[in-house]
Amino acid sequence: MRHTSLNRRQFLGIAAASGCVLNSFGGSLAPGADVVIDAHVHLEHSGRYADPAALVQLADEAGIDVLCCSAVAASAYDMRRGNQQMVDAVRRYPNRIIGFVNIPSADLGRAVLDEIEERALRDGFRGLGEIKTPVSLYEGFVPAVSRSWLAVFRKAAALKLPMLLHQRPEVVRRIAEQVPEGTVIMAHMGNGDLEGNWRLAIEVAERCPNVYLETCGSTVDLGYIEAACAAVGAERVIFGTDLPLLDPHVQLAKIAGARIDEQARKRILGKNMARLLRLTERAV
Amino acid sequence: MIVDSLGYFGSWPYWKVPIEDASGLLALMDESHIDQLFACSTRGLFESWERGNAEAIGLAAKHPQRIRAAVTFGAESRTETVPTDRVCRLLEDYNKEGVRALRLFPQHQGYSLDSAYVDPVLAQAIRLGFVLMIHVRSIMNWGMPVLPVSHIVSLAARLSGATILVCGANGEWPEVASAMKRLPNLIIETSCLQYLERVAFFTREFSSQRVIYGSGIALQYPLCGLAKVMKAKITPSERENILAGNAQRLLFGS
Repeated sequence: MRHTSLNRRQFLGIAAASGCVLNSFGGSLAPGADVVIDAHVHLEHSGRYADPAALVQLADEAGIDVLCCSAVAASAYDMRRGNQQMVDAVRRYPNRIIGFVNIPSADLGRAVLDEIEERALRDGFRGLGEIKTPVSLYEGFVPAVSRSWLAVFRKAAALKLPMLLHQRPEVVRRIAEQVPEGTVIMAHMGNGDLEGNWRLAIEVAERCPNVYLETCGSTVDLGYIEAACAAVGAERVIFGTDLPLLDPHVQLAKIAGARIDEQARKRILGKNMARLLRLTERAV
Repeated sequence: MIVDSLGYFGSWPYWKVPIEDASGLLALMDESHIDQLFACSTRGLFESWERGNAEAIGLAAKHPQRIRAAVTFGAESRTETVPTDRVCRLLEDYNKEGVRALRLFPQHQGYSLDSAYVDPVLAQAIRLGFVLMIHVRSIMNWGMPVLPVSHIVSLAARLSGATILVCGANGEWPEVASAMKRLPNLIIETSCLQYLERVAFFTREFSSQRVIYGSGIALQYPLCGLAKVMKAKITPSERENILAGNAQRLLFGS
C-alpha cells in the first residue's frame, strides 16, 4: 500500500503537472500573458461580500488575477444603485475588478437601454450580465425571446459588451442566432438549474460561432471540459467561479484536472476573456 | 494518505464517460494521488445491484491495495421486489468479504427509505456493522434525480444506532447541518459539496470526524474533490481525518 502524505505543495504540484496555471495575482493583461480571469463573479448587495475587498481576498487566495463582476442588487431590484456599487468597486480595484452592467428586467422601458449605454461609455463597464431572469416567453419547443430582451442584447452587441447569460442552451441559441453580432457567453455551460445538460450546450456552441461556454457551476462531470474543447476549441471555453457562491478552488481544479494541453488551459483561464474584453495592460 | 470514500466504475447511461474500466480508474487515482478508493459499480444503480456488487467485489479482489468494494441494493425491478431475507443473506456474504460500505440510491433503485421493505435489510446491515452511505444525488449534475434530505434525516432519527453518511449534498447543506446538530450519527460526505468554504464550515461546527472526503471519481474530476479539502482553512490533523482517517475508522473492515 502506498502511503502518500499529500501536503499543499504536492497538491499544487499535481495541478502544475496537469499544466494548470494556478498563478498568484498580478502580471500583464496583454493577450499572451499568463493570467487568470474569472468571468463570473457577483458583488453582493449586503453582507461580507458586498465589500469588493472580500472578493479580492478570495481571488488572492485562489490565485485569480482579475474578476469580471456584476452587482446582485442591479439584477435583483435596483439597477442604478447596484451598478453604481459596481462602479465604486472598480474604482477601488481598477487592476483587479472589471465591471459588468446588470439589469433586473428588459421590461423596464427605455431606462434599461440608457443604463447599459451609460455604464459602458461613461463608466467603462465591459460586459453585460449575469442575466438570470428568464428571457424566454414560454417553455415551448421553440423558445421565443421577447422584443425587449432582444433590444437589450442588440444594445450590448453594439457597445461590444460580451453578454454573460444564465439561460438554457436552447434559449442561448435563439439569442445567438438573432443577435449574430453579439458575443454570448453561456454561463454554467448548460449546467445551471435543472438542466445539467452540457452536451446540449456544446451542440449550441457548435452551431453558433458567437457562443462561448463558461465553466463555472456545481457540475464537475469528468470529461466535460475536454468535450467542450474538442467540439468548439479551447478558444471558446471561458473560466468562471460564480464567486462568492461556489468554492473557487473547485472551479479552478476542473480546468487543472482536464486532460487538455497547456495552451488550451491558458486560453480558458484568461487569454480568451482578455481577448473578448479587449484588454491591454494600459486598460486595466 | 488519501482514502476516497466515494467512487464509481462502469458505464454511465446518461452519456459516454471517459473512463469505464479498472485500468483507467487506477490511472486516474494515480494522477490524483488517491491511495485507496471505495467504489461501487454503476451497474448496481441502473441494472442489477447483485451483478454490480459482484463486479465491485471482484474488482477489489483484483486490486486489494487500491480498491475496496462498496455495495448497494435495490428492488429487483419496477414490478417486483427482492425477498428481504435474500438481501439479508447477501449482506452477510458481502460482510464476510470485508465490505462495510452500503450505498443507498433509493431515487435510482426503486424503493423508499420509509418502506417496510427496507427496514429488515437496514436492521441486518446495522447488525453486521455496515455504514449506510445514503445519496442525496449520485453525482453533482442538476439533471440527476435527488433524494430529499428530509428522507435521510427521518431514517437517521429512526436508526440512531447506525452511522449514516449523507452523500452528494450540495445546496442542501443548511438542511444537513441542521440535522447534524440534532443527530450525532450523521456525517457529511464531500463529493458534491461545492459551495464556498463548506468543508471548513462543517469541520468547525461538527469536528473533522464528521466530514468525510469523497470525489465521485471516475464520474467526476477527482482534483475538484481534493481541492476543496486541500484548500480548506482547517488544520493538518483535521485534513488528515477528512482525507483518510475517517474512512479508515468507519469503512475499513476489521
